[in-house]
Parts: sequence; structure tokens; C-alpha cells
Amino acid sequence: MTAALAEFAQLAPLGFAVGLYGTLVGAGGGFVLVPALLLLTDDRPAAVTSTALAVVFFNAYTGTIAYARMRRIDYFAGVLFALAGAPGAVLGTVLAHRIDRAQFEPLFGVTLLAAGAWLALRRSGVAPAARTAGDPAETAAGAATRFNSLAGALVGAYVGLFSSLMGIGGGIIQVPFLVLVLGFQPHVATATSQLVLMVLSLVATIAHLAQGSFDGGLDHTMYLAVGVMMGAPFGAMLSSRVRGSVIVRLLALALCLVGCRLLIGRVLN
Amino acid sequence: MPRTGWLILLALVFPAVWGYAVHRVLLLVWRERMRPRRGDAASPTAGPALDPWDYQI
Repeated sequence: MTAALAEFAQLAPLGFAVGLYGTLVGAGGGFVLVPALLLLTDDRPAAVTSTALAVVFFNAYTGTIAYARMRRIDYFAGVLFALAGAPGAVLGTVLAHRIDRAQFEPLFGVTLLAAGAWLALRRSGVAPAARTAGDPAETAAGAATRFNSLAGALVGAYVGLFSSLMGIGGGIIQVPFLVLVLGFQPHVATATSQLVLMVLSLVATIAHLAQGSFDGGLDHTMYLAVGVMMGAPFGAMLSSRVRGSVIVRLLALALCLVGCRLLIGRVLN
Repeated sequence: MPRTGWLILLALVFPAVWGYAVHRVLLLVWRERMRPRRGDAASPTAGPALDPWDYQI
């Protein structure tokens, strides 16, 4: 077996698992990919972050197509968050090269752990305020929700910045915000988050390419992309078979994983 | 270092301004797109696409 084939055999199943789980909870899967790639490959951390973001794009792209076919995406919310967050994603990439982000990691890690624990321990995993379509000005087809669009735009803009700064896709922040604060149904929130992630991860990947931090990561990106593009439709299919509360609890697990990674990474350094 | 300071200030202020601007513009565009037009079922001036009086010349 050649070295390239061995790498493919190792990374494609990882991509499949990331695609399935990420699409199910509305995240890109960068939170699993970054530590896994650091363990499995010899790539530099900057190249690993770039690879993960590119794979998140392929995951979100496939997930968006699958959810669009299910008519689960709230397009108004998706376009609003994507447009609001895109410049922040570029700014975050520039800022990440200039400041020591390790200073923020413990605070960010504790916040994510607390949010994950709260999500997991809530009596009901679904927001009681979840509402459906009303004002035609703020609603889209099928899956529309009435929500505070100004709060959504402001938080979306900061999510784009912080997710890019911390090297994650942003889905694990967006979905809890959509469900808990804006009152989206979990199934709509995860689908809409995939659309937003598709745009934000593409913008962040282009920014990383322009900064030259993508060197050597192309083959790993392709191996993983094959896996995520096969796993994402299964994640979307599985999503329609599980209850919203299960999705929220799986998301809580993802939040706790990222929180632990940030805290452990800080301790090990 | 001073440039980094400006960047941090920009990172704190810009998303709020940009988010507000995007919200206003998108809401305007969306409302215009969703506005009921003559002949639509939801329009206050709703009616058949062809007015029967048009035929009485």
C-alpha cells in the first residue's frame, strides 16, 4: 500500500464521521478535525487550521444541498448571518496572525463548557419560545421563523470574527444562539447554520490561502473532503429521524469537547 | 504594535456597525421582494390577472 493510499484510508473514514456528526448538529466539524489532524499528521498548526476550514466548507456545502432538498433552511436568517459574519471572518484571520489567541482560550473554553453543560442539563432540549412563520418581511419558504433580526445580525457579525480568530467554523456557537436566544426549532437551526457555515468557511479559506498558510495541506483536504461529502447526506438523513432535543444534546457534547480541547491545550502548553 | 491596537479596536467596533447596516439593507431588500404586487393573491388590489372590463370596448 502506498503512503498516499494509507493516508487516504486513514483520513477518509475520519471525514465520513465528521461529516455525519457535523451535519447532524449543524456544525462544520472543525472542532474534531483540528485535534485529530494534529495527532494524525505532521502538518503545522496553521496548515491544520486551514485544512480544517476547507473541509468544513465541503461539509457545509454538501449539508446545505441535503437540507435545501428537505426545505429546512430559513434563507432570510441564513443570508443575514452569512453577510453579517463574512467580513468578521476575514478580520479574525488577520487578527489571529497578530495577537496571541492563547490568552483568550481559557476564558473561551470555560464559557463553551458552561454552555454545553447547561444545554445538556436543561429539562427540555428545545426552546419553549420556538415560533413559526409570521411577518412575510422576515420569513422565508417552508422553514421560516419570526425572530429578532437585529440581534441576529449583530451576533452573527461577532460570531464570524471570534470563530475565525479561534480557528473554528462557528456552527457550535451559532446553533445554540439560534435555538436558545432567537427561538428557532433545532432542525431549522442546524440546516440554516450549514448555509451560513458554507459562506463563512469559504471566505475564511480564501483568506488563509491569501496569507499562504495552506501549504502542504491540499492532499489531506482532498482525502477528508471525500469522506465528509459522503457523510454529510447521511447526517442530514439521520437528522430527520431524531428529535430536536437529541440534536441539542449532541450539540452540547460538541460544545463540551471544544471547551475541553481549549482548556487542555492551554494546560499542555 | 500600534497597528495591532487599531486592529483590535476595529474588531470590537466594526462587527456592530456592519451587522446593523446588513440588517437594515437586507430587511429593505427582503420586504421589497416579498411585497404583494397587483394580481397576487395577497395583494390589497387582488383580482384576476385580466380585468373583465378590459374586454368591453
